[in-house]
Amino acid sequence: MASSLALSAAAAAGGASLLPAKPHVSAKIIGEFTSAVPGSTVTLALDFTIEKKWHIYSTSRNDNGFPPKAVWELPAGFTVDAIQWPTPVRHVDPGDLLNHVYFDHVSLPVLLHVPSSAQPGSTSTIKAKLSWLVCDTSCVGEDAEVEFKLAIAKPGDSPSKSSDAKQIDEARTRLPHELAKDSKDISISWTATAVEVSVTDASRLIFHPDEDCVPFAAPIKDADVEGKKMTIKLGDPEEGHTALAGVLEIHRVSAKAGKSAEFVRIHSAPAAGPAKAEPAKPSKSP
Amino acid sequence: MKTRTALTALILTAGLAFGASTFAQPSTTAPAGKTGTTAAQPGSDKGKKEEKKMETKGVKVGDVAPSFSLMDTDGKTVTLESFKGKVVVLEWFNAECPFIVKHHSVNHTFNDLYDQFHSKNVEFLAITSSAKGNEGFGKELNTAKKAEYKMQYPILLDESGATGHAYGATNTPHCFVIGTDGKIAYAGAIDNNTDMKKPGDKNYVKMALDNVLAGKAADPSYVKPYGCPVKYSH
Repeated sequence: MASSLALSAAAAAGGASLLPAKPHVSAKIIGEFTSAVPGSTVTLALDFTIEKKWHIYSTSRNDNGFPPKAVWELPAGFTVDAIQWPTPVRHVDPGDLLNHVYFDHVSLPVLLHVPSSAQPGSTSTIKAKLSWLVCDTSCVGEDAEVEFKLAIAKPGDSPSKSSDAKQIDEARTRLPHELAKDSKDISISWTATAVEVSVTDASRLIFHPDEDCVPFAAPIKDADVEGKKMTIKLGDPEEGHTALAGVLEIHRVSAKAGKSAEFVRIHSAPAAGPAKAEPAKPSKSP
Repeated sequence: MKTRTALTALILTAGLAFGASTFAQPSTTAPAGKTGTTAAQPGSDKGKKEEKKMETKGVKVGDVAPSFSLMDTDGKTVTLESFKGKVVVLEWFNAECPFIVKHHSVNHTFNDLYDQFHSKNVEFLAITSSAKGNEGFGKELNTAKKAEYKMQYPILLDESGATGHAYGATNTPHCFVIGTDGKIAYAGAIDNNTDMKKPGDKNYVKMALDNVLAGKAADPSYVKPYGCPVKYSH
């Protein structure tokens, strides 16, 4: 465990002697700022430190496992948005089981809306009951009750960044952005049996499908390729799952910028569909 | 993202993110297990250890159930053929997986099914494809767990994983209902709740058995299974 503090949530609950074993994951809530003014929106994150070699699951399509679940308990007037999921990594278990997971550490950002009725000078306690499945060669279900104390600042104050802000910034670097409508370097085309994704200057392409993405025939082989073109053969049709939906991870290598990675949210339906966020046919640029 | 207020404590559920639509209710329809055909195209070799040249194959609903001959925890050989003319329920099993614990210890999902259907020409078999050294492996462990879970049906030891691969079993539990015609009638999840403790309000194996015994097709005939990865050998 990286942090003894992090163990406290699970250990405190029932006393160490009642615990079946030392948890493989420690969880806490972190905040980007040390305080928040009434009526503002701040970023918190569910922060998981995971024992070496073990992993927890993302919301991408998995053969096994589930993403962590959270039940929030918030003071009156506070609300949270949906959890944001940084792009996971692919993990293949023996038997060709493909999962999209997080190793070592992940922060899942969440926007918290502070009501304008929040009292400056007071402290608001944000609580969450978390549960998750963590696996290595075995799987264990764990849970924790975590809380975060948010100081309410005076309107007009400028809250300062907390020491955890860098964790949240790091998570943001792997959050996907929407595909620009006029994107010229990413193109997606469909045939009867495959979907082809091309990125003009990519050195490696990885596609992390959502649960409701069109089924792939051979995701282990097709959805992680070197080069600028990825041809994903389609699997047996599944009702309601017709679009290419998920996150495209694009790696580039350039003399100028060195190695870089970009994470783009894709939703592309075959020709008949609306092809949301899909660039039209490669446009003839001047 | 919508939040929901409950009581004065304002308990907010992270609704969509932990979506009912994504995991509380596994998708129902279409293909059984991993039905992909063998990957024919040689892809670029990334030299990564996990890169495999072939995708897992498995059975689809309507396929003839692959035969097997496996040892149970009493050292007795059990074959699928010996149940000819009966309906057979296969449960992929790993005694130590929390989802197996959920359905065999926290709840008695499978024992209840057995009690309800065994007298109606339905046989139940648990199969563990845990390889040597992996969680859930071994005659001793499974003998003890069979007693602990008060299971009235055998646990078959598929150490090599060959039977698991033939069926395309991915999860524990992963269920297959085989009709009296020897064909796969249902494949997938046991129920509609992926919680590690709470059972669902729809038991898909029960629904399939009710239909099959009434001479009807299972509906749904496939639901994405949930649980732990089957602990195949490397």
